[in-house]
This record gives sequence, structure tokens and C-alpha cells, in this order.
Amino acid sequence: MSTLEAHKSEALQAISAMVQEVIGEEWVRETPITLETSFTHDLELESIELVALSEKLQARYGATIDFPAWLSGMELEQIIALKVGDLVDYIARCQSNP
Amino acid sequence: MTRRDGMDPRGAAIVGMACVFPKAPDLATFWGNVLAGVDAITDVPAQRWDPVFFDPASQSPDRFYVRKGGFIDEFADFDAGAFGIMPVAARGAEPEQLLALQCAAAALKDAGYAERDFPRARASVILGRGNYIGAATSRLINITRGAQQLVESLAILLPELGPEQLGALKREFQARCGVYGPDTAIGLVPNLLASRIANRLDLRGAAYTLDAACASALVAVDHACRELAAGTSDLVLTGGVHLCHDLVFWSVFCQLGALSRSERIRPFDRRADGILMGEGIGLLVLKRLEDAERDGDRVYAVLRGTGVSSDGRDVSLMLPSVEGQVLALERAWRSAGLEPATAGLVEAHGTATPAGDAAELETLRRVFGPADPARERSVLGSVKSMIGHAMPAAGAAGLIKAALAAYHGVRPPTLHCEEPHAALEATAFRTLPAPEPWEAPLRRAGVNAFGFGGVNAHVVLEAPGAARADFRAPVAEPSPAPAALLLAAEGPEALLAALDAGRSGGTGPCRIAVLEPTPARLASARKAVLAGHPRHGRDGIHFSPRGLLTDGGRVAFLFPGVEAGFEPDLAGLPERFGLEAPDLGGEGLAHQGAGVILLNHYLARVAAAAGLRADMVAGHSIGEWSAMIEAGLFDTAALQAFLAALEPSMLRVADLAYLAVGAGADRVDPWLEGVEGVAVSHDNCLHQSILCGPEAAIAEAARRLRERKVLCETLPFRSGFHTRALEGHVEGYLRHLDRLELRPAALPLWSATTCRPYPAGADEIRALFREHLLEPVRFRELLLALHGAGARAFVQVGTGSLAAFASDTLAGLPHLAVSLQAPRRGGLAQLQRACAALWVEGAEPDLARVGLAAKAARPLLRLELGVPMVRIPHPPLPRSGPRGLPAGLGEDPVLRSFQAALAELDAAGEEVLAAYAAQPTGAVPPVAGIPAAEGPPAGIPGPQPSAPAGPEALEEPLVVGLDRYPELLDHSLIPQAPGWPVAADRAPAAPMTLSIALLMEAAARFRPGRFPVAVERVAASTWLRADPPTETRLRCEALDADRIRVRIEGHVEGVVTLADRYPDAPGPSREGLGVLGEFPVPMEAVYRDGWLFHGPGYQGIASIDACGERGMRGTLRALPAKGALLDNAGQLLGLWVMHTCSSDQLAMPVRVGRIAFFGPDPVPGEMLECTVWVRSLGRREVRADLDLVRGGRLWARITGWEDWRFFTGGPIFDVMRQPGRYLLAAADPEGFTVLEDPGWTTATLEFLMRRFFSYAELEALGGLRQAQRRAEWMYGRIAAKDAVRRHLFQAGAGEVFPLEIGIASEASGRPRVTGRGEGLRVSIAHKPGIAVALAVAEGDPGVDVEEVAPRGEGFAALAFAPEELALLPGGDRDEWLTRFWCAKEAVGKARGTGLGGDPRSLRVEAVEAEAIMVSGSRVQTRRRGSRVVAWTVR
Repeated sequence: MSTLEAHKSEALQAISAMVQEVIGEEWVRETPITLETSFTHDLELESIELVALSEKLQARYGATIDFPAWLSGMELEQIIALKVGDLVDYIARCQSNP
Repeated sequence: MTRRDGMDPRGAAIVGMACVFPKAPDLATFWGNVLAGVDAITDVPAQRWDPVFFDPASQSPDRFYVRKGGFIDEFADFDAGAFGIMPVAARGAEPEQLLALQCAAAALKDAGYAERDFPRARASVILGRGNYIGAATSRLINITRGAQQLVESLAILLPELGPEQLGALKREFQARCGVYGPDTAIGLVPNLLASRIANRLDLRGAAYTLDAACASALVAVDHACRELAAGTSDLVLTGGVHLCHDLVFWSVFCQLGALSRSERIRPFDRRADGILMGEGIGLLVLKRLEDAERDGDRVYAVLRGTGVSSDGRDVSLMLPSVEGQVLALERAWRSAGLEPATAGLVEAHGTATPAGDAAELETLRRVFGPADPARERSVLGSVKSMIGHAMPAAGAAGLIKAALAAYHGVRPPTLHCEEPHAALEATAFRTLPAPEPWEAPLRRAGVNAFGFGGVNAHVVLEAPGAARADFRAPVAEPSPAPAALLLAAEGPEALLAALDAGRSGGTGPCRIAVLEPTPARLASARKAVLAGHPRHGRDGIHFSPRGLLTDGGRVAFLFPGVEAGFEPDLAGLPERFGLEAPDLGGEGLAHQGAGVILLNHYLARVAAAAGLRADMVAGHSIGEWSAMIEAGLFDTAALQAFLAALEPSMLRVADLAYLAVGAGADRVDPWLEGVEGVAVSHDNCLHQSILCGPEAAIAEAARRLRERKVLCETLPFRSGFHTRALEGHVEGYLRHLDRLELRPAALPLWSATTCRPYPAGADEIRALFREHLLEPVRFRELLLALHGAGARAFVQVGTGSLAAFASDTLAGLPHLAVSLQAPRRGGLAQLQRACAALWVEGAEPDLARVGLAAKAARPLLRLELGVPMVRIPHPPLPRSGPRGLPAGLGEDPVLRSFQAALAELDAAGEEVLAAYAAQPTGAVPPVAGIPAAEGPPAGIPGPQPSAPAGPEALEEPLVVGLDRYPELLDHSLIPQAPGWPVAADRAPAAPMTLSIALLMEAAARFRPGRFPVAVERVAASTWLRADPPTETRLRCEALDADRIRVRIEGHVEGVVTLADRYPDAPGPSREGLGVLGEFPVPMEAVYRDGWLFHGPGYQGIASIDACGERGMRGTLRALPAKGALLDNAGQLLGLWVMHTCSSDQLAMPVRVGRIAFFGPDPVPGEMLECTVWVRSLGRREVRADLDLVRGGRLWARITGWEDWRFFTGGPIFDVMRQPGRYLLAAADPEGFTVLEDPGWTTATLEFLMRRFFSYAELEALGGLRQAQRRAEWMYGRIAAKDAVRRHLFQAGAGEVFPLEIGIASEASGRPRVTGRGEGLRVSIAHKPGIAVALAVAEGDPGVDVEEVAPRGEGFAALAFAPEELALLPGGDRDEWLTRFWCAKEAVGKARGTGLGGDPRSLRVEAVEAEAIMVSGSRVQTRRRGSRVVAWTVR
């Protein structure tokens, strides 16, 4: 497994756990979160919850990533279409090219 | 036999069907069971007949050798509310009447008549019903003969039992037998089976039952076809009904040996040894085929012919006769004009008795021909193999089965016929073990039903022909499946069971809602229940193991203000709720602000329509204005003021920018050190706050935050709201707000500026308006404060993020946050989600209205089909009446004397009550041996003998009117047409509890500084009317230091106790309510359908929590209207009376013994628990004690509350509730209306007259009292208005209120119709005790009524010429003289001339039966009791 892939796999696991914490509901534990899971459509994440997720990301990855900056580069439609995989890619990219 | 004249040669069409048979609550299940071969035979349920009667070895007439049969007990649920039948009447009626009524409604619905109408005037009900004993009659036999037999036997066996013990035992036995009394007796009359259907469904053709034993249903079908063929009916509801497993019935069949000893019913099997008894209801809606085609009905099958015969003088009354059966079959096929051999299916009588099967097979061989190897055998079946023998309903079961077989093209199986009868082989038939497609182009069938005593019936039917297959789609499509499964139960285990059963419904705090229930979702739902963790709907599942609102949790509505985006989605809402969507167009902040306010208001109306209620409201920024409006602080006119305040010119005031920050205000602060002019304007939640400041400073703040990797976003608008920068700019807004009139808030309104409820004083409120504009929005703290005040459900009423703010802030605390709007989800879809979420937590939205349930879940009344054994717990003790002694102690001399003392005490008590009732002042005279009136409440100094502190008496004027108390419009006694302009006609009046409040306030003014803690001996005499205002005087008079007698002259008085503090509250009473039952009317219908007449201002009953034989418990919401809370407590008592009594249900408070208060008045919006214990129920009054409990502590205790019951016999209750829908006068079939005075009391008369005459009309007559003296004249007017209303109803008018019709007098004296019905012509006649009226559309009518009295020859000679007298028929000469006279009067009125003092100006020319020709006009006459009525006919 390449470093990038290892980072991706780790990031997916971490994001799954954070999403579960943010949403705080039992069913998310039953529903596997994949790279294809959409934040808006599948998880119905509210914008406030995105903020809470952002906090958790910053807390875990610190200066390695700049989630707000990454988000602010997007149009609203992009944010709505955002998938877990997009975030995983971003994090893995940041970790591979610090 | 020749074909009947006039019959459509193609026959009668079955256009609708419904049934209840064992294991089949409805038609679809029945057909499914028939196809699947479900054996519906079970053991007899113990409540039908007690297992003690089963003894296969006994020959005794009361022991049975079989205990299996077909039973429908599990489906005996009756929707009493839907049919307007009160439960006591329902419990006492024969269950078959009610279940048949319900089934009839289902059959008509199946025919598509739930939505469209049909000619009810030409619709008949003809039902087969055996004259066997029903459950209710059987219970009555026990109550009458059984009870007496019991005590007489006991008296012989146990001579030591005294009359009291025996009396007590008898009463106990009778009470346990069931409900019976004058209110329920009518429900035992057998023909009511048909009549009740005609009555409740308003069918006006023939309505009767007939008995032809087991052939009854098909003989009824034969009658129905004749009705249609003769053209006397256009639609007939027919079929058979049999709900009878009475011991008597079983005994007869056991003694006859007709029951199967093997306990299996096997028609046409060689092992067949008898029947098993079934039961059920099978109904069909028939129309002439040509009419059905014209109306585009779905046709299941066409009845082509019917035949009926009797065996005549044949072998035996008991044995079937082949000759007789053949005759019926041949008649049916001949009347159809068809060849029997063309039948592809015969549904046999098939009783499975050896003699019956043998005879029927021989009949089939003779009629359908012998077996023919060249032809395929037809199919023979009997549904009795599945459901048992349903006796008079058996033919209906067979006919429904055969019709569905033809319709669907499937020939169904017959059970237990593995070894066919030897004679079957010789016939042209075979039986089927499994269903078989029936693909013949012509699907024709015959159905048999043969009865005891030799009555035989046969029906020939066929599938609607190919030419008819291209009809319109069935009109009775099932309503679209609701989009969700909603289940409630007491706990998780029960919920799991309900989930597995898959049927919505149930009650209890443990609830789940599954939206679009896919199998995967249902599996997930199951897991959720098993795990016991709540779900909040993200995956379409809402689940709460114990609803957050069940234990007093409250609902907060949150109204959003302006946010970054505004994309409302109202899709589906306007159509569903009939609420036009607001115009939200326009760009820019001003438009968006206005749009937000309009949208919030719209959604608040939607929420109300959906049955969502707030316990408290709050808003975010300008959303607080919405909260003010919805709390009732302003009326909705304020909307315009707010919108004006949002004019573009008023906005850009401070021109400051906003920055939304993804961090809480507390975290943001330190990072902004040194950035000038930036302030937190909104503290939204843990993870969001908003900064406001000049553009450059905001840009700097954003830079710093982004550096710290904090999300932030500049908002797309500018102003300066919620910062001090706006100071100096707010006057414009405040001007708009100051113009608005403040009203007391109806709901607790919370401020996001102070995080507390709004203050009460107008000045404080207006001061807060300013602060609200200048101070930050402290929404995060507000949410916590609301949670602290009990809010558990937070509902966002608008677009935006408030629900998310709540979830974020309250994470970890028990709460639910939902929004009525969500981006990209239709308005209705999101509303449904929100309602599902709230329902799961214990709210009660109108699930049907929002489309989550097919219809509102309504508690059904489970009818008892059997007569269970009465088992009295030992020892029997007296239940009521004079106190008795425990059995066996009767001889003890000490106890005897004690008993005598108790009896004396009872008598004395009665004396007190009688004296009390007789005293207009309510003062209690002292009675020897009884303590004087209750002392002061605990904690209050007793009455001081010293001089009262203050003046001795006070008198002041009092005016009660709508100016002062506009809410009294919601306490209007008389319903009128919507929009009726004259308030006085609605008779708004003060509830007695408003008077009580006025008495208490007066006492407090009389002794300033002290306050009322109790009021006693309240007695009301006349209504305190509000329009026109009542002007009277209020007098206070000190009785002693603490007690003030207060009197509102002419209306009400009472004694108020004053104190310096409230007494300590005793614990709430734990006394029970007796056996609990269901309150049958759903809460939302209680006010809507007029069970209680109160308008919104007095609609404070939030729920009925328990309903028992001795009282009721409910939850009350404190409302702002003065006296509303105690009035609501009284309403609970009123509902109990309606629930318990089937006549004289209207009860109004007149007296109260004492109300003690243990704390200050609840504020509007507070919820209280109220329990009513009924202490006595008399014919004319009912007395009760009530507790009102707030937060577990007693707030008020009421003893000796007394309601008077108003006479509401006959049509009166309906007319009182819904005067626009019901006639008071009786409608004679010939077209006239009759009003006879049954001796109404003044109070009843007043109620009625106010419904028929406007206030102005009554005043013109000199006031109500004066008008009552002209009773006959009034009756004439009522009869005339009802004649007109009947005419309008028949023309299809929905509601017509009597006041919408005027009856004026022309100069000639002829009455003239004005208002609605103008153009109709009426004639009125009245005599003492009776009035008659006739209304017609064309020509001039004349009507007269006269008492039949001895008429001397002088009268005859004066009134009639000799030629006329020569026409007098034989018989009662006085009656015929009266008829002649009436006829002349009627013609005189019709011509507008009257008799003009010359009765001989008109001449009787001829008499035909009861019709009389008078000078060329035809008059019909009728003897009616002691009178004659005559009316002109055209």
C-alpha cells in the first residue's frame, strides 16, 4: 500500500468516526460510510455540523490541513455535492505533500 | 314464469360490496382467504359462551357437544364518533345494527359513494336477518328475568339474606349484565338493523329486514332486484346479517343434531357429518345495469335472474325437498332467459349435512343435467367449508364469493372435500382443492341458499361482458397509501409486535415513525426499537422509547430572521391546506426581510392547520416580530406595520457588514482584540456567531479568523441591527411598532435580548422593542433558557438554521429540533417529516391532514357480541342506594342502630341539598345534626367576630359587553352561518366562570391589599349576555372580616373569602375514576364538530387523558380569556355527561359549592391537569368535584360543582349542535313539515327560538318572554323555515341556518320567503300545540290543520251546501266535516283570498279516498292523531 493510500484509508476511518460523533445517532454506526457517501444527501449534514466537523479535523490534523480555506475555495453547489471521498483525498494530499 | 316487466333485461349490477366474516374484517381479506383456502374455524371465544356449556357427553339442553365455529369478535370495533352515536347508546344497542351500519358505509364507499353523492331519496335497504335473539336482547333477559330468578332462588336457599342483601346482589348482577336504560332501549328493536342504516346514511327508499331463515340474504337480493326492476328504487343496499352465537341458538342446533361431531365442516365430502356455525355480514350495492353503465360504475357482476320457491306440502319441515329446490333454480334461470348448462360455477348451499348435501346434489343433477363426458365439468363450491354456516347471511357470503370469482376470473377452492360424495360423480360438477383460472369468455355462475322450513332461493350472475370492459377505471380506488408507518405502544415489546404486524395505529408513549417504509428501512427500524436508542429521522426513521413530550415536555416554536440564504419551498402546502401561498418575490434585504415575515406567518398557519401547537414562542432577530404576532401580542394587522418597517429606505441605516463565524462568541472575542468597531451581534450557538462592524474592520476580523483556521463568511447584506451603531436610527422602526395596539400574549413569548419571557406591562414591552434592535441576539443562551423552562421540542417555523442552532447548543441534553422547511425538500414533504418527528415525541399533529395517515386514528368501541357469565366477586356488597351491612352482620344490634344512624344522616343530607337547591341565594340553612358550612381553609385565620375592616357594603355599575370582553364571541351559545354579521344572533354570553372571576375581583377591590383564596355558594340564575351589553350592578357586602358576599344583580352571586396569603395545598387526590373506557370523539373533533360550542378563546382542553365510569381526566391549557380555565374544567364535565348519557346531554354550570385556590392564576400557556369526579347524576342535574393540578401541586379544588342538564330529546340535540344541518320540525313524506309541542320547558324553548329567530326579530315581538306567549305563531314560523330548508336540502344545499331565511308577511297576509330560498312559496297553519307548513317552488300552496271536534248540524249547514254534504263519505262524520273544512281553508289560502267569511264561496266537488276536489283544486287530507291536515297538491 502506498503512503497516499495508507493516508486515505486512515482518513476515511477517522472521518467516519468524527461524522458519527457529530451526528450522534445510532444508525450511522449501522450505515457504512464510504468514499461515495455524500455529506448533504446521505448524511444530511447541517452547515453547523460541518463546522463541528471542521473543528474536529483541525484538532486531529492541526496545521497539516486548512479545511476552511479548502471550503472557501468552493462554490455552494460544490459544497452541496461534497462527498466523503473528496475530503479524504484532500487530507491525504495534504499529508503526502506537507 | 315470464320476465318481469320494466326490468333491464340485462339485470342488476353489483357496484359495491363489503363484508365481515370470520378471519376477514373486510372484502379484500375475505377474497384473499377464499383464494388461499384459509380455514377460519376456531374454538368459541369464552366471551361468546362460557366453556362451562361444553360437554360432548351430555344430552342436556344446556350442554353442547361442539365448541368450534366461525366468529368475528376480533372485528367488532365500531367507530361511534364517525356515525354520531354516543357510546352509551352504542354499548346498549344490538351489535349487529352498528356493525352492519359500518359495513353499509364501507359498501357504499366501495361503490365510490364516499366522495360523490347518489339519489339518497331513491335508495333502499333490504336485509336478510333471522329473527333470532341478539346479544343485547339476551343481556336484557338477564337483567329482567334472570336477575329476579337469581334472587328468588337465593331467598329460598339462604333465608338469612335480608331484602337489602338481595337487593344489592340484584343491582350488582344487573349492573354487570351490561348497559340498559331508556336511552338504549330503542337499540333492541330488530328492524333497526335496516332503519338505522337508512337513518344514519340518509336513505329514503324502503328500509326493512326479512326472515327466510338460511335463504334470507338471497331472498333479500330478490326483493332488491324487484325494487330496481319496478323503478321504485335506483339503488338498493342488500345482503344478509347474522351475528348470533346465543346459547339458545346453539341449543336448538345441538338438539337437532345438526352440528358436526367431528368439529369439521366438509360440504360434499362423503365424511360430512353436519355444520359448524359461522356468522358475519355481507352487503352488496345494486343498481340497474344501464344506470351503472351511465354512471361509469365499476361492475363486479351482473345479476341476471333470481328465483324463490317454497317446498309446499312436502315431506317434512326439517328435510330439504329436491322438488322445491329445483323449482327455485328453474325460476331463476328462466327469469334470466338463460340455459343452466352455461354456468361455469355454482356456489352451493353446501351445509355438509348428509341429507342436505344429498338433496342439493340431486337438485344440481336435475337442473344442470347429468355428467357429460364430452364437456368439461363445471365447478361446485361452498364457502361454508371455510367460515362455517353464516345462516341468514350465508347466501350473501356465497354471492360475494361468486361475484368476485366472476370478476377476477378465478374459480376458488373448497376445503375438506378430499373424498367427494358419491352422488357428485353423477352431476356435471367437480370440486376444487386449489384455485383455478377461469378464462371462459362468458363467466356465469349460480348461487344457492336454502332455508329451514323449505324456502329456497337461487341467483344467476355473470361477469360484466366484454363490451363493458372498457368502462372508466373503478371509481373507488383505494386512497393512496400513506407515506409512512406510524406506530405507538406502551413499551418497546408492544411496539416491536406492532411493527411486525405492520399496521399503523396504537396509543402510548413509545412511538416510531418510518417514512416510505421499504423493507430495508423496516429492518433498520426493528433494530432501533431493539436497541432502544432514539432516532431522529435522517434515515427516514423517527423513534423515541419514551416521547420527550409525554412527561410534560413542551414545544417551542422558533421563528427565523434574515439569514444568508432564503429559498423557501412551499411545494404541496397550498393544495393540501387550502392556504394560498404568500407572494415572496423581490430581491434585496428589504424584500427578503418582508418575505421572511410573510413566510413565517404562512408556516405558522400551516402548523396550526396541521395540528401543531406551541407552548412557547421565540424568534431570531426580526423573527422575534413573527413570534410576537403568533403569540397574539399583536393582531395580524401588525404584519403590515412590520413590513412597512422593512421598507428599503429604512434599511441601510448604519451600513455595517456582517461576518458569520464558525465558532462560539466566547471563543471569538479574544481573537478580535484591537479590531475597532467590531462586535458580536448574534450569538447563535456553540459553533456559530456573527460579527458586525465597518467593512474594513470586518475584513480584518475575517483575516485573523482564517489565520486560525476558523470558518467564516461575509454575509450578503448590510445594516447594523443588534449593535449600538443603530442607535439614533431606530426611531423609524419604533414609530411603526408604537402604532400597534398591544394585547396580552396568549402564549409565553421569550426574548432573545433578555433570554427571559416578555414582561407583562405595556411600557416594559415597548422598552424591550428598542433593546431588541440595539442589543445582540443571545440565541444560544435563549435556547438553554427555553430548555430550562421545559422546552423539549424546538420547531423552526421558517427557513434557515435555527433547528441546527438548537441541536448544536443542546447536544447531550434531551431534545428534538426540527424544521418546517428544508432546502431542496418540498414544503409538504418536510412538514410530514417534522410532524412524524413530533408525533414520535408525543405531540398529536393531525396525521391525516398532513398525509401521514389514511385517516385520523380514532379510538374504536369494541362491541361485545356475547353475553359472558356474570361473576360477582364475593361477598356482594351494596353498590349504591341506602347504606347496607355486610352479609351475615344483619342481626347485630349495634350495627343495626349504626345503620339506622347512617340512614338518618343520608336523609338529612338530602334535606340540605334540597334546601340548598331551593335557595336562590345559595345560602345553606342550618339543619339539626349537620355541621354548619365548612370552616375557612387551612392556613387562613378563621372568621373574626370583630368588626369588618373597611366599609360594610359597596355598589358599583357593571357592564358586560363585547367591547370589554371581545373573547366572549368565542363563548357564543348559538351557532350561525360562517360570516353571519350580527353578533347578537350568536348570543355571546359570559360563562359562569367569568362571573366568578368578576366576583373575586370585586371582593379584592372592596378590601384592597387582600386577595381572594376561595369562593363559595356560587349560584347563577340567568345568562349574562354580552351583545347587546348587559348593564347591571355589582354589590359587595361584608359577612365578616374575611368573607364578602358579592352579587351581580339579576345574574349571579357568591361568597368570596379573602386572605393575606394562599393556604398550603393539600396533596392532589388519588381517587380513581372507576372502570376506564375510551372517549370516542377524537380531541380535534370535540370543538370542530360542535360537541362543545366554544370558539378558540375557550378551547382549552388539550387532551382527554382518562375517561371512566365515575369521571374524567384531561389536560387544560390556560388561555388568556378571563374565566376560561375554570370553564374548561367544566367542559370536561360536560363531555363526560355527553359520553355517559344518550339524551339530555347538554349540561351547563349553574352552581358551585366551593372553589379553594392554593396559588396565583396560571399564566396563559401553562398546562394543568384536571380531574372530574362525578358525585351524582340526576335526571336534571349532575354534581361533581374537581381538582386542578399544576406541576404536580394542587392549584384549585372545586367541590359541589353543579350542572343543569337541558332537555335534548328528539331532534333537539342535533338542532342545538348543528342548526344549519338539522330540522326541528318533522318532515312529512308528502312534503309538509309539522311541529308539535311536546311540552318544552322555557329553557329549551329559549334555546330553540334563538336558533330560529334573530335577535332583531325577537325584539320586534317584544323580547323573548313576550315572544314565547305567541308560541303558536312562532311554531308556524319554525315549521315554515324548516319547510324551506328541507326544500333547499333536497336541492343539494349543504348547510342552511334558520336565520338565513326570513318569513315576511305580504299585505294580503300571505307569508313570503326572503333571504335564502327566496322565490319559494310557503303556506303556514297553526293551532294550539301544532303548526304545519308547506313550501313549493311553483304555484301557490295552501295548508291547514284543524282539531277534529264534534260539529253540530248548524256548522255543517253554514259551511257547506247540501250537495257538498251529500258527498260526505260514511264513517266518522265529524272527521269528514273537518276534512272538508280544512280542504276549503287550504284552497282559500292557496288562492290568497281566504274563505273571506263565506265558506260557501268555495265548493267541495268530489272526494276520492282522502283527496278532496274544492272548486277545481285538488287537496290531500290526512288524519294525524286528533287532528286533520289538508294541503293542496298540483
